[in-house]
Amino acid sequence: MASVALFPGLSDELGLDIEYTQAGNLRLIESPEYAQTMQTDIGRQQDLGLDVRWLNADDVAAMAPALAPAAILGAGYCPTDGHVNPFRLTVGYFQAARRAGADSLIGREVRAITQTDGGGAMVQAGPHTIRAATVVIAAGAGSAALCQLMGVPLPLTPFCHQSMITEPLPPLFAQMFGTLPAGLYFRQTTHGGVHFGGGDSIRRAEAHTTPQTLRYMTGRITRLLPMLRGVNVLRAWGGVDAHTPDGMPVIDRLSEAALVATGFSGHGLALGPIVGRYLARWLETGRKPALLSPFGAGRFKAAL
Amino acid sequence: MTEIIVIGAGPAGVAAAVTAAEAGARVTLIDENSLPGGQYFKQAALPAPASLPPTLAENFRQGQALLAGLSHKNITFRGNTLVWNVTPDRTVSLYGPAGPETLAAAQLIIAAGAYERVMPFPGWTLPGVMTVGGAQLLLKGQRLLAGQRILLAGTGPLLQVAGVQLLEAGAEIVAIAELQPLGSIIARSPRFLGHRDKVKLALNNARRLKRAGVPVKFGYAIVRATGENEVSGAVIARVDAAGHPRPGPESALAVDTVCLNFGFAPDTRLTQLAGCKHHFAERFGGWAAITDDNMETSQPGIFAVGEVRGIGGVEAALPEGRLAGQVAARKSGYRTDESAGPTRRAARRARALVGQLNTVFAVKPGLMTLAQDDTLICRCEEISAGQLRAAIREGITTLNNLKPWTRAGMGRCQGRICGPILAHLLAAETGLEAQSAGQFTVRPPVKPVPLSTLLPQNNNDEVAHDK
Amino acid sequence: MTATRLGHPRPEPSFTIMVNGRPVEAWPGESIAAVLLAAGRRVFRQTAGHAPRGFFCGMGICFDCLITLNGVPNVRSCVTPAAPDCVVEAPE
Repeated sequence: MASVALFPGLSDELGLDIEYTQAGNLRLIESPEYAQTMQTDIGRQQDLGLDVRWLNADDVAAMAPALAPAAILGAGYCPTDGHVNPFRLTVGYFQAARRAGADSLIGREVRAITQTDGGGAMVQAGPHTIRAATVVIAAGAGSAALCQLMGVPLPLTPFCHQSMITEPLPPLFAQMFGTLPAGLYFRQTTHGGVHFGGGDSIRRAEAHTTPQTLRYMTGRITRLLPMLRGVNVLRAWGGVDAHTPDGMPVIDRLSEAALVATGFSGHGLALGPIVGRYLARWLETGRKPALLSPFGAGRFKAAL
Repeated sequence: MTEIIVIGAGPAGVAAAVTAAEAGARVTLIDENSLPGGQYFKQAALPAPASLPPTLAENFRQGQALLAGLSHKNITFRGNTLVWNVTPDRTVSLYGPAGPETLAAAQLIIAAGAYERVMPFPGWTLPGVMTVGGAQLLLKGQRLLAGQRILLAGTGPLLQVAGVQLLEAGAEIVAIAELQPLGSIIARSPRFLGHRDKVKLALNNARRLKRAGVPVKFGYAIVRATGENEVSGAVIARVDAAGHPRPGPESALAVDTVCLNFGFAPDTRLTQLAGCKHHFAERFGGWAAITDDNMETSQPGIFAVGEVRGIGGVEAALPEGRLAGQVAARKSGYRTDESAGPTRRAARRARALVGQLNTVFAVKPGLMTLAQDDTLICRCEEISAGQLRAAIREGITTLNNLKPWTRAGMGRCQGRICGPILAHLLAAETGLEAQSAGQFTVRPPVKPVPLSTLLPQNNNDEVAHDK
Repeated sequence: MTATRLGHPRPEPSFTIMVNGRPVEAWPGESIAAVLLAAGRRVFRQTAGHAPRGFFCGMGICFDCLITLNGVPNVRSCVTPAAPDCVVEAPE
């Protein structure tokens, strides 16, 4: 919820339009067996104070007329959710960091991280050696190898996740969509392309696509949006997420000179900004913010 | 499973298909175009007119001779069919008249060819500015002359070859702006050794152009094209050894058509998707598939021939195609009459000679200064040189980082046009070698296809995939 | 600028395609790009940034020569054959 509050102001804060669209999130129900599950979920979330509600088929049709009405029984709706352009978000943060005085090295592989005698960190990146009081490891699926460099094993599993984007289309809908059971999500980008992903996440560290998953995703989305059948797909790609055994991130101190924030298990984009803010506070004050306390690496001791 | 699939029906692919078929193998030859021949031997779907301009007639005759071999009963030609994905297990995804389809092959020969390299300048997106190859394809495939007053600009022998073809077809060639100074071409003339036919042709072309009064300006580049809705003028200027325009007078030319060619770039999209290893081969047009002496890539059973191995022209394409056809047929259990030895030597010799020649007509880094900050580099997404330079100043050093940062290369052409330019731009701005910019990671489909192409083809795909 | 058909007039019968509601003469085997160029039309589309674009690579890789054909947007005119039922939309 803290994260949701952060996004609307980010474009102004970063000085770059991150194409944030806050039009809600619909989790679409296509079969009766899941309607009950969704309504139970909604009840539980409402008890926690979340603004979520059930939409019947007519409500969904009114909200997103582009969807095939016959395919949808209803949806769980959370009006405060949104979507964002991940590239713009990253570039915005990068540029803001540079403006604030951060140096950058892009395209260099970190080969060694060591703790210096003085208690600081020394990082070897290509031909460069960088010294700092603290090193923060936030390298997604690459984090496990970096933590290993420091002698700390983390139970991270790489999962390749695939998505596709169509050529630009006139505006169809502004909401973010998912399904229950999971397996498909989609949104229309500011640029106009329908971006969708899902299918099986495959346990591997290589980011290429697999024809079977592309076909599966295509089958799912064309049932919900039949008009896409004749629309050109521009590209399909894979990305690797770091998953933890419990699906929650690892945000912890590795040593006197190193912090880690990884294992977002597919939720890195939504959580990245808020976690970054708390990490910064941690670095500034030297005290771990209470909000981050559930995410210690110690909870996986048994798994290693 | 098909015995042998050949992708691309240009000179290399046709040579491979015919050789393998004659050895007894069953071959499926696939091409996106309706007719075989590739771009070099472009065939027209129109009936041949009684008289073609002589150089076009000669190209047509040579093409017909090569393509006659495709009538072999072992060859199935599938035209109008795009191969939009290849996986390392030699499965190809097709989109064609019969709808979506996947085929698997025991041996896969990739002869995907090349595309033209173009350098940007103000006005290069105006209608009427086109590639030299585009104007040639209109002549060969459509029997259509693109313009009346034509400027050809860029570098390489193709400018004069096309100049003669357009002249014969009835155009006025206002000028040919060749980037290399004549002195440097002459100084490098030893590199023409072994190219007797080419030199003869080049001298012949030069004489024809001279007789027609065509000014061939060596050491010149086009610096801008002008016009409202289509090109109506062009400005050329002298450039120095590094390709920077020299201070001094420019020549403004009244033209209705500008044709550009700065060499070619290998189309390695399919070999990249197949997981084959590539290397940066400056003299062969940049990133190219690596093969062994038998044209086999780092992926067993996947061959790369012709331009995919690096720009080698028809001279390298034909023996390389024959060699791959021989080897693939033998791996499929067919005995070929001739030993592969002589073909292998012919392929190696042709490749080495062309490599020498290519170095005479290299693109020069100074040309990148022609692109003003408001000049578009990525034509699809309309990303300007200024936007890209700003990103490079932020520390971006590779094509794969420029793409999400700026959207350059994210459009429909998938970076085919801007990719080689971006490598030059990165090199110019950072001082790094062009090869350090890397290649764009290739994403399927290699060209946009309707989503229906990817629909499940059997029930196996219908099972839930949630982990 | 009007492109010139070689060997014209062609012996085989022509047909017409519709371009923005007006008939344009075409011959069997011609691409839609060739028909448009021969009719003196060089601007095939306007980009999102309102710039004119037309024929560029001629071999189906640059995606500059896109037209709307029979209601389907973004069709590459240089690799699409003209046929008697073609209805093309292009900017005036």
